[in-house]
Amino acid sequence: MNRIWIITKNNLKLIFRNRSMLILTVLGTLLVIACVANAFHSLLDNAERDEGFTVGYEMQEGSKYAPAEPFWIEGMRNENITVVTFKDADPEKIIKENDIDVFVLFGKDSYQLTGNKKSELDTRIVQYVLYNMDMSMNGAVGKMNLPARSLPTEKIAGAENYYGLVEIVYFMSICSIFLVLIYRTERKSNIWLRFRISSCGSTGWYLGKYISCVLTAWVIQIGLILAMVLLLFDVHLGRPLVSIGVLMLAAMAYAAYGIIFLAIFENSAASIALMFMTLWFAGLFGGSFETYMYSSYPETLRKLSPTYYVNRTLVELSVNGSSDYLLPCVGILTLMIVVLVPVGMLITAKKEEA
Amino acid sequence: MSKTVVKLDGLIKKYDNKAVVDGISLEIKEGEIFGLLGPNGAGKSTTMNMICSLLKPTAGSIELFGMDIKKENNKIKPLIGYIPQDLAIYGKLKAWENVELFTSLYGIKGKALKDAIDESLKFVELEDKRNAFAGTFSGGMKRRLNIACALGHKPKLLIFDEPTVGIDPQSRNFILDRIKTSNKNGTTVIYTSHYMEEVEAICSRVAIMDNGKIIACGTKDELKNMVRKDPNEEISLEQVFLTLTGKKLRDYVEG
Repeated sequence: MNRIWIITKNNLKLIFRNRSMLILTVLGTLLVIACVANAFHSLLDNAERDEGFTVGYEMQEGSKYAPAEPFWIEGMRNENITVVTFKDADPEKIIKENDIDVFVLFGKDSYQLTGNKKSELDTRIVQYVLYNMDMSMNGAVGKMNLPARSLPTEKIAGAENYYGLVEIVYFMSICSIFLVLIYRTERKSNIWLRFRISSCGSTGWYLGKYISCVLTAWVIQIGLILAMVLLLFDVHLGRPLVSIGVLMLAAMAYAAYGIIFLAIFENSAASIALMFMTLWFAGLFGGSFETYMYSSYPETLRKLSPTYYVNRTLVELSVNGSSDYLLPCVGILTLMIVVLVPVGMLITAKKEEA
Repeated sequence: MSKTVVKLDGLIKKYDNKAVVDGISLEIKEGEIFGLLGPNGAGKSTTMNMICSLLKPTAGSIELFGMDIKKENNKIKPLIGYIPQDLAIYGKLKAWENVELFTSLYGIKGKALKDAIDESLKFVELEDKRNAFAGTFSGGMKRRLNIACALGHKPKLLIFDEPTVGIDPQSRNFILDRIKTSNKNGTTVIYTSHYMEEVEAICSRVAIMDNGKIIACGTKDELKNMVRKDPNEEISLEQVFLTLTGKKLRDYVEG
């Protein structure tokens, strides 16, 4: 146990003295979050939109909708939708100039809706209200029910919140990169011979690497980067303790996965390339580069990626405070640790014998 | 009579049915500086790797300090210090941190560890540079630190694998002097080098290996007498080596 701690402490020294790698990890994560959150800002923020908006309308003379006008106004206002009346209006001009999100022109027997691309969801809400108004008028106008807020608008994370969480997970998935230089140095100068000749076995050597990698991921990626992301971006954890627990478990699983590549291949470049490639695909299917909500990849592929479970759990915890994916996520990560750590030990021992 | 520190008996190591070490038997006594010579690919490194338990022999036995390496490896390991040909030190660690790491792997801690670090660095005259990063050292300083890292746990048997490659004459002389000093302090030494004058200067006995076999073994004079035609002929160890192993180039591919 003492020898494992000696090797761990030594590896931590080496990792934390490699400042360029640490700075690159911190800046890389923050930069990617800022870039992708900005790129997908409009998509996710429109879907998420929850605050009220403004509807302008003009009731033309003789419109069959005139009797329902007081109910229409009251109903919309009750739902935190501001209603503004216009006369002889040019809908497109009004939307451009008057900060109106949607305009409704009630004609004699029909109505015309105008909105812009930015207010697509608002327009759909108003359209749904008008459809219901039409239905109500076929029965009794006075019983009109405005279901605007009961529309099935899925509650999803904003772009910064979503990408803030999933990019931390993605960068954590490649946390074994912290060990690349150590493996390279030890192989290049045959330092590993000293470990083998000493009383330190291959298990101690492996665990020294694994523990130092996990501790670094916890300190740098959960401690430092997550704190910075929470401060700099609009990111919420929902249930902080549970989310941090999931992240810590993810660091343990991904470290075990990455070290296998470093242990198998003598060539550091090959190790990094193969590890990065597999984790990139796991991230791609898991929602690291496009949201899992609007993913263009089949459900089966997504569910093959452990990253998907981690991302989904963290995002749902953030938005809803709970997630049905929490248990499967914890199960998959635990399974990864339980299987991959012994595999890593075995490969290290076999390489030693070779 | 001196105790036997290393005893190899019918040692064989095969790769793909090809014997790299082919049934060697050898005894090294306590207090010797034993030179192991041979052209590239002769089997020296494989033999040393088996003595250090880095490789398992295909057949034969190895006894160190009277203990079977297979059965009592954990007792044997703290008695061996290995100085590899490569600079097996971390450039990103300070000199004392390098010695601390490799000494503490043998379970040495506390004051004993601190004293061991001080002694080892003093022995190689790097005590003034203890807080400097090894990566900033010159080639000769790195070589000395490489040696210090193997001394901290006070081994009884030191194995040097070409420790003077690529350094200036001053550093080389210093290292050879330190090897003789540690030998005087009671450490048995196994030394390999391609520099014959070094072996001639420090070794008490020499074995010459070729094609996985020991083709000659004895004191320097005994070896010289093997090839000396005229009793008054001045002969160097290099001449002995070339006479026994031939002048043909040895191209050797690892693996």
